[in-house]
Amino acid sequence: MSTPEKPDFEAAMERLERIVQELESSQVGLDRAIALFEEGLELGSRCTALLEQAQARVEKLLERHDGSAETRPFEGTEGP
Amino acid sequence: MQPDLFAATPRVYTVSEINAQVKRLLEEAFGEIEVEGEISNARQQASGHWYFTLKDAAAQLGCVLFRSDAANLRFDPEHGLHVRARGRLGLYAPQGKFQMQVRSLWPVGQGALELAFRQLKEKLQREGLFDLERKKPLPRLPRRVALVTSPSGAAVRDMVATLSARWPLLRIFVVPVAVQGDEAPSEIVRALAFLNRTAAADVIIVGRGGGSLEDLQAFNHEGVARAIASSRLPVVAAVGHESDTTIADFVADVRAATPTAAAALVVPHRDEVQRHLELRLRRLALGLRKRSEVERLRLQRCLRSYGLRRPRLLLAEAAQGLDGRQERLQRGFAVLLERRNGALALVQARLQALSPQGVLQRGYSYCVDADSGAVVPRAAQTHPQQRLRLHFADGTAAARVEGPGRERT
Repeated sequence: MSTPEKPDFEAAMERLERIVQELESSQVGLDRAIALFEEGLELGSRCTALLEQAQARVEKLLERHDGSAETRPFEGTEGP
Repeated sequence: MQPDLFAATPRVYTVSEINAQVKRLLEEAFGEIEVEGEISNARQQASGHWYFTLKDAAAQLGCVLFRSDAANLRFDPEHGLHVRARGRLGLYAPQGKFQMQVRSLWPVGQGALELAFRQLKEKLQREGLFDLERKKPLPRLPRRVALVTSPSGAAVRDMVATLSARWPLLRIFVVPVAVQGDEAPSEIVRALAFLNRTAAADVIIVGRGGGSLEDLQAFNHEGVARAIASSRLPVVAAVGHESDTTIADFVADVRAATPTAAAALVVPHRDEVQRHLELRLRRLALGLRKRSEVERLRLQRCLRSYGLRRPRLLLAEAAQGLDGRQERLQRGFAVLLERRNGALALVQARLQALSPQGVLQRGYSYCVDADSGAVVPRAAQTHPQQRLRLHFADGTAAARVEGPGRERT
């Protein structure tokens, strides 16, 4: 079963945190600092876009006879 | 063969014969009866049969409850319990013991469900199933949430609405099960096993809306409790209302007061995450700014080094280096500014507000050690009589530290 978003939000957030930490360390050179800054901005805008464009998906998850999983559309509340 | 008590010569029976006679007499004479008393010496054999004694102040009666009947029992016959037993009298011929074969049992003075609840709770607690060390942490940002609940009704609707509103990067799986009735426990157990086997979700919410104690029984079921406890995927229990407590609540990794509360527990709110994101971008901007400031100060120090042999050449090189760095910095910011019309507009506005000049304009200042030229970002790095230079938006001022530096605690 695939995960909802290819450029995974959490991975991007984690990468951003690592970038910030590296940038905040005094060891990094200026060239590297600028590169990190740009990558960080890119990740930030990607995360923002993901949040703004995404919409939660709701499905029904059923067990097939062979035990594997099957998803079906879930049209709001069902039944009586 | 009837016993002939008035015969002149007593009839001789074999032991088996007399026991069989007495057994039949007992069974026929009483039929189905109910006996009330206190349980003692209760024990369940490996066969599944229960043996116990019913007693009052003066007498006792041996009882057996066969496995097939024990299966219908909501609670365990435990020592000291005041009960009413229904069944038949009989004789256990191998031991010549008169006993009651109990078919069903009710607690007296309290409900069977309450009693069953207390017993199961104590049992699972003894086994350590409620221990905090067993509780699994919930994932910080789950991508897939499974709702093991009824596909109809308010609970699933509330959970779906709350989850989608809070966190849009989510797949929500409704795993439909009966949440009350005879089928409910096995369906819930099966759903939990299925989810664990397929690892189809990062976190599970199992629950239902409010109902009577009877309605919530599936969540007080031992099998359900054990399935929750042994789930490798973290489980949040969300049964009924605030005041309803079930065994499922105790064994789950997290107990939520209501289904809506469970939904709010498993995913963060988008605004909260957005704030984290902005905080990181702010640190990113400050990090770069600080980094370039360090370069500038290092350069200044070089320029002030009178002891070097070829100051003019050094100066030229340094100036060149500064140009190069400034150019790269400007390029960096130019790229940033080019995106003004894109999705970054918001972020940029915030970054601009954070530019050092902007910060200084708002009334902040920073200070450097007057001798070394190094930035002094912390109180702990100052010492009395240290000479500092304060940088304001419009210029600098000389200052001296009066007292010992102290960190805010």
